[in-house]
Order: sequence, then structure tokens, then C-alpha cells
Amino acid sequence: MGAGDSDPGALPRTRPGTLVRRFRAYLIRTSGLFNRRSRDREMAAEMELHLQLHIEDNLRIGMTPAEARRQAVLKLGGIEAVKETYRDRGSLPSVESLFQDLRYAARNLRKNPGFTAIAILTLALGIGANTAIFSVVNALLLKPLPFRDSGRLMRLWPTQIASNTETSAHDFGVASYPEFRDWLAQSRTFQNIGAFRNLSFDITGGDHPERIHGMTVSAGLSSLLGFNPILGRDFREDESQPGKNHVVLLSEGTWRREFGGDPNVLGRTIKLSGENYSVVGVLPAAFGYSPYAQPPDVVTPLRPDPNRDHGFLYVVGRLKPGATISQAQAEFEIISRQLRRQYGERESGGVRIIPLRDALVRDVRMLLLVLLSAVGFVLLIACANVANLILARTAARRKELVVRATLGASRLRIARQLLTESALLGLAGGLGGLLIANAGLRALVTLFESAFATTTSGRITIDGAVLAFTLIVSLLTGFISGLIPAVGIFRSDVNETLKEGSRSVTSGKHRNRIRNLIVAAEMALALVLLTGAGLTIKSFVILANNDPGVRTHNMLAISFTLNSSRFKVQAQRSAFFDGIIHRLQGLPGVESATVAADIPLTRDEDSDTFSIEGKPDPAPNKKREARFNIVGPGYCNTLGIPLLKGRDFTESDGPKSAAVATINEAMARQFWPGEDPVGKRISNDDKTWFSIAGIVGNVRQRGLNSEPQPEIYISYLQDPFLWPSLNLIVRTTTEPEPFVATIEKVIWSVDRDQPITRIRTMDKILSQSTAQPRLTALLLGLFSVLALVLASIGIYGVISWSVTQRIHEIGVRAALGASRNDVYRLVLGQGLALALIGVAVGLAGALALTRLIATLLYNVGATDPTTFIGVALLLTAVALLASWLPARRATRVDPMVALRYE
Amino acid sequence: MEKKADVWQGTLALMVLKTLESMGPLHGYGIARRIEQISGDLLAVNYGTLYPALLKLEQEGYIASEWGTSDNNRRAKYYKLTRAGKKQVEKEAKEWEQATAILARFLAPGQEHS
Repeated sequence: MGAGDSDPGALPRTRPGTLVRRFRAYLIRTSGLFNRRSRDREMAAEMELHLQLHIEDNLRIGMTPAEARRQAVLKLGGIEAVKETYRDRGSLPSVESLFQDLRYAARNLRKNPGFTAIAILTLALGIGANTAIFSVVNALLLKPLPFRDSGRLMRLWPTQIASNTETSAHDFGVASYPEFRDWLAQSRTFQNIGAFRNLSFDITGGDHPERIHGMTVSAGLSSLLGFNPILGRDFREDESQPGKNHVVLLSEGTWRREFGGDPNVLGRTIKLSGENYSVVGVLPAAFGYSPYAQPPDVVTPLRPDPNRDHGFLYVVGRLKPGATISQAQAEFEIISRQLRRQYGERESGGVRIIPLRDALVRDVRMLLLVLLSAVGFVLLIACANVANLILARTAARRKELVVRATLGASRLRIARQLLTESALLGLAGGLGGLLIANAGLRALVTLFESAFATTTSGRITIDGAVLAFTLIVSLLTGFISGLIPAVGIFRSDVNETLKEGSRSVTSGKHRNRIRNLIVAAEMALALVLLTGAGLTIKSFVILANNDPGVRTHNMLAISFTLNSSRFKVQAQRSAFFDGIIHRLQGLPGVESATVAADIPLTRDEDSDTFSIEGKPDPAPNKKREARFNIVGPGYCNTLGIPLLKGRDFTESDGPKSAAVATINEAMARQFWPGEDPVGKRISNDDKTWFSIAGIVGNVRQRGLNSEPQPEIYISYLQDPFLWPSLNLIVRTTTEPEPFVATIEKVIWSVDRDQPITRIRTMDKILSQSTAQPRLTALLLGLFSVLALVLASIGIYGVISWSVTQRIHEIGVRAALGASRNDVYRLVLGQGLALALIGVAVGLAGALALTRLIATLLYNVGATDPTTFIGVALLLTAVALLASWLPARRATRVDPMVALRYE
Repeated sequence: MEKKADVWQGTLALMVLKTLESMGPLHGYGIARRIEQISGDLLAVNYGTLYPALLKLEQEGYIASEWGTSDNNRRAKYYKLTRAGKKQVEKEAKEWEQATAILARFLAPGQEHS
């Protein structure tokens, strides 16, 4: 058979040509979307000429003019149909009809400004809340960290085997130095592993002494994180060794501030906490391990610490290219098992490999997910409201839709028209939502930053990802809102609808059922949200009402770290504090001042073991634990702690007098139940024995949410260990903030080289202590109020629509002698029924879901009955109120008017 | 009236191209009449289908159009073959010849199948 370059079996025809030709045609057709009018004119001219030529030909062969025209038109084959095909070929009909739908939808929405405004506002609130929360989620949980190839950066998080102490150790995820070295030596999945800790230094010589923020790091940490020194070099491996470790990397800021940006800074020395460090390099301003932490001013080499029990290092690693987290995790299962075998029980339980990004936002993750679900609920309710609005309007537009259907519009086309309208609503709502989110985001970021006492380094913004999210959510929202009404088109029968168009008492039964269902669902969603909010609010209230144990008002806490090189002996410390306290007490407005190692509400979870004279030590697996707190004379008086028994410290409890201690009530209860501890002796090193001089009230040292732990106070004047971190506590008679400058001046007049780490008012510390639960309660409360408002608008809309529908029926009832109360009962009954269905379903949902927020609750069960009953009552009451308004309208129906009304 | 054959699907385009090749630039009505003449009035061109086909060919770049003046001084849209169109005519004509030759062999009486 004849071989050709084409398939000889196929029937030859004018091929569409190559793909290129087809594409060319597409482009021209797309452009055809825009010059429709001139194309139409050309086509008409062409047709006109065609007809004329044909008619002339026909006349020439002897037809009558009428016949000539008829034949010509006949031959052309229906001029309108030809034009239509021609038009379709000239552009893209599917796109054209979309434009048409859009134009029609926009016109329709403009024609009903009330409906449109309410729908858009509803969606804008829902979408705005989602956009705002998603901006935070995106920045904190999804966006990569601003480090080179940050996806491979992992945090190596040691986990404890169930602690053998009575108080379970909090999981800080810190490792000891030997652990870090073992991991570094044994791991094959990591390209490099580094360790660091935060450390502060005093820097003197400027206007006044300063406390600066530093990091002490293993060699190579900066390049591991993806930073190169902008000047000089990173630390060398051997610079961790004593004798060589007085080298420092400056941050760009410190370099400019302390050395004026001198390019010859390498080799110069800087005095940090009294010791000289030689500058080996300058790090870029962005250097740090987290965008949420204060960047370090100086970086020094990590000093080895052979103690395996001393966990103080944060360990990070960079995975080798191609290595996965699960490989690393598997490897570390083996490594830690082996280390456990080698070093016994004391070695930490295991190591979890967590992406650094996730490790940095561990605290906030749960809250964010809860908030994201909450705003999701709000948006669903908003969708339901808008769906209901559209349904109501579709009912009102029934005549128009019927006309379109009878004129030949397919149901699909009408459904598409409705969906186009709701999509347009969604997009408009999305735009509004963006504006709302943009306005609220700054406040939200401030709330987050202050609640978590951190910075977000401007990472939380409305960026491309957020915009894409909002666009998708908007379209989805529009689609969901329009779906039920659009589906309703398919279920309705044109004839039926036409008949319904005439009057009928039971009109639109089916639609009523759908609307009722939607409202009940809204109620259920709102109830779930309200329950979540109710639980968090209740737990916040319980927390905020906890007695901190001190009088926080008019109190300042000034923190120092006393440099051991300058405060070698007790006398230097007491001279420093005595000098300050005496001068302060001479000032007007200062009531008293004292010293304390722990500022109430801010202490970490460490505790100390101790011995009681005459009592055998407990079994090794049952430690006897309490926290030692180093305080000054007049501690109880200044802080407002009640003295329950015995006495507080005085100035005479000095280094030369007998060592004394006071204990708190919790301590007395736990270790001397039914006994009098006063006069008993305790020790924490079995060398110095402190005899108990008094019992004082409990203080919630670890925060409002922690129960008071046993606590032993000793005077800083008798502190055998010269604890370096001490705070000055000052009580003033009026607002304490104006005293800050004076106090600083007094401190530097006593010691002009002592930097102040931080000055805070106790009220602020108290408020910080409840900041996270407050944020949770505030945001969930806000969203649930929004949900409640939307849901009540929903129920109001449905009841009020139903009253309008039944106005005839109500009129008949009234005419037949129904009383006002009967009418109220009728309408409110409908509202109540909807609310109760919603409440029942919502309670079931809440029971299933509130477990998930159990970790955010304090002293409130996830199924707290009071809260559940309370929110159920609240929702029912609001639903009744929302139904009452239309009910009142129903009672005012004049039977005569209602009967005439049709 | 004798029953006329409809234009087969897809062949109209080739006829248009061939007509323009042999006649030079023509307006739509002229093309339609020419096709009918050539077919010996055996073929009924539904004039209405011609215009979308012309538009399609133009969009694909096989023909080009231009407004000009007709014989009796009227404004008319003239279509002419482009270079791509010329090639296309040759290619398609060859394919048709091949196809008709094959079919002819099937249909001719007494001819053996090869």
C-alpha cells in the first residue's frame, strides 16, 4: 500500500493543522473577547453583501424580488443562527458566558444593596478573622526560618525518662556537654551538630554599666546556622579550652557601638564582666538561632563541662543533604540507647529530632491550631448565614428564575448564575476580609508578642502565601454559600414553582426545611465555639483570682547579676545592698526595700534537696525537695507576705550570728505535719545548719498557675554560696514607675560599675504571668461572640422570613381568635425548636472537641458541666431573643390586612 | 429537484482553499458560488456554514482577509490564500488523491486487492 508520511487509513480532512496553528486560533479567539462590537459590525456587513449579491443573481435569473430575497435568505440558512455560530467561532463562548454571568451577577448584587452589604460584611468578618490568624500560622508554623537551607536545621531535644523525683522535671530539652560531644562524635546523619546557651555579660566604661546579651557557642555554630562572619573568622575547635577561650565574636551592632565599626577591630580586646576578650570576628546583624529571640550582642566559645547531669545546652544540627528526619531519629534511638547502657539511668531518656522551626514555636503551636479551628468555625457560620440569605433571596427571585427557565435557560445555567453571584460575594468578602485582617493584624501581633514575651521580627505579615490563602478561602466560601441554593434549583420543578408562585399557605416547605437545618447547624457550631471560649475564660478567671501570696501593687523588682570577680566576699555584697537600701529608704515615697533571689511568679522549676536534722534521709528514689530562696532582712514586710509564726530576718542575722531560716506554710505542712517546725534545723549541704525561725505565707513563685512549693528562705547575709543573681525589691507608696530613674541613680551612686539587668513592676510581672491564658480567652471569646452574633442574625433571619411567609396564616389564626400569647408561642416555639436542636448537636460536638484544648485549660475540666450548661442557656436565650423580634411583629398583624395581603 | 449531496464534514475547508488557489482573492459569496459551480451543482453548500469555516481558516493562518471594492463598487471582504495555505492545499490534495485512489481500487469491479 502506498506509504505516506501520514496515516493512509484515516479519512483526509482539513486538519486543524499543527498545535501551533490551533494555539494561534485560540489567541485570536481570546482577543476576540474584547472587540466584540467591531467584529459584529463587520460580520453584519459581510452577510448583508452576501445577501445583496445573491438577490441580484436571483433577479437576473428571473425571480420576483420577493422570491429572490426569500431564496437568498433560505440558502444562507437562518441569518441569526449563522451569526451565532460565527460569533462563537470568533471568540470563546464559555469565557463569554462567564463574563456575561459576572456582569449579570454584579448588576444583580448592585440592585440589592442591603442584601449585598450584609452578605459581604458577614463574609468579610469571617474571612478577615481567618486571614489574620492564618498570617500568624503562616509566619510561625509554615514559613521557613530566615536561615540558609533552613529545612535541614533540626533541634536535638533530649527527653527525660519519667523523672524519679517527686516533682516531675519540666522538659526544657537541654543537654549536657558530654552528651553533646557524644552525639557529635557518633551521628552520621548530621552534617554538623552545634550547641549553645544564652549568657549575659556586664559591659562597663560607657555612660553607665550595661548588661548585654550573649551566647556561648560551640565552634562552627554560626556556619551551621548559615552565617558567615562579615569580618574575621569563626571560633576554632581548640578555642573552647581554658587559656584560649578568651576570644569573642561581636555582633554587627556591638561592633559599631563599641568600636565605631572599626575595620581593624580584630585582635582588639573588649572587657566583658571584668575579663578581657580578644575580638576574632564580627557576625552579621541577623545572627541568632531564632528570629523570635533577642539576637546576641557578643558570642563567646562554649566551655566544656564534664558533668553529665548538668543539662544546660541547646543542641541544633544540620542534616546531611538527602538525610531525612526519620533517619536521624532512628539513628538517635540507637545512639541514646547505647549511651544509656554506658552511663546508666542518669543519662537522658532519648533524643527527639524536631525541625528547628517547629521547636522554636512549640509553646504557641497548640494555641494557634485551636485559634485556626475557631475562626474556621466562624467562617462556616458566616457561610451558613450567607447561604440562608441567598436562599431567601432566591425565593424572592423565584419569578425571575422561572421566567428564565421558561425562556430556555437550562437549570445548569441558572445554577451556574447563582454560583457566580455567590463567588462574587465571596471575592468581595475576601477583599473586605483582607482590609479587616490588615487593620487587626498589628494588634494581634502585639498581643502575641507580649503574651509570649518575644519578638516576631516582623515575620507576621500579609504576604503572598496569605493572599493566596485568602483568595482560595474566598472562592471556597462563595462556593459553599451558593451551593445549597444552587442545588435547590435542580430539586425544584419549574411547574411546581410556577404553581407556588400563586399563593399557598404552605409555600416552599422544602426550602424552609433546608433553611431551618442551616440555622440549627449554625447554632451547633456557635455552641462548640462558645463552649471552648467559656472553658478558657473560666480557667483564666480562676487563674487570675489565684492569690500570688504577695501584694504586687506599688512594687518594683530590679535585677542584678553580681560579678564574682567584684563581689568575692560577703562584705562586698552586703555593703552594696545595704548602701542602696539605706539610701532608698531615706527617699520620700519609698516605703521599704529588700533583696530576693527569686522574683515571685517568675521562678523556674528547679528545686533543691535538703536534710532535716534528726530525720533520716529518704530513700534515693524519693528525694526530699524544697526550693532555697535567698532574701534580705524585711523580706516579708516589703513583699507583703504574712508572717504566720516566729519571726522574719533582721539585719542582725549576719554572717557571724547563728544561721537561721524561715519556711513557708507548704513546707511546714509537708515535712512537719502536726508539729511545730520552729527551732528545727535544716541544711542543704550537711555543713551549715539553719534553724527555723519563722513560718511565712505561701507565695506562688513559679507563676499563678503553679501551686506553692515547699520553700526555705535564708538571708543573703548568711548565704554560704554567694548566689550571684539577686534582685532588689522596692515598695513605694505611689505608682512605682516614676521611681525608676531615681533608683538607678542611687544604685550607680553606690557602685558605678554595677549594671542593671532589668527593672519591672510587680504588677507587670503579675499580668505577664497570666498573659497567655488571657490571650487565649480573649481571642476565643472574641471569635465566639462573633459566632454568636452571626448565628443569632441567622436565626433572626429565618424566623422573620418565616413570619412573613406565614403572615396570612397568622392573620387567619388571629381572626379565628388566637391571642397574642398564642402567636408568640407559635413563633417563639419555632425559634426554640431550632435552638434546641442546635444546642443538642453542639453539646455533642463540644464534648468530642473540648478535650483537644485540655492543655490550654487550668483547673477546669474539658467537660466542665457548669460551662456546658451555661453556654447552652446563653445560646438558647440569645436564640429566643432573636426570635422574639419577629414574633412581636407577628402579634401586630392586623387580621384584615393579612387576609387582604397577597 | 435533484437531491444534492451535502458537503462532507471537513472537506469544505479544502474546497475553500482550492478555490482561492485557482481563482485568486474572492469574497464569501463568490467562494460559495464557485464551489457550487465546480461541483456541477451536485453539491449544496449551506452558505451559512461557510463563514465560520472562513473565520476558522483565517484564525489558523491559512487564509487572510481584507476589505476591498467589488466589481459593482461595493465594499466587500476579500479572502486570499497565504503561503501556509498554499502548502496546506498541496498537502491535503495529495492526501485526498491517495485516499480516493485507494478507495477507487476497492470499488473498481474485478480489481484484485493488493
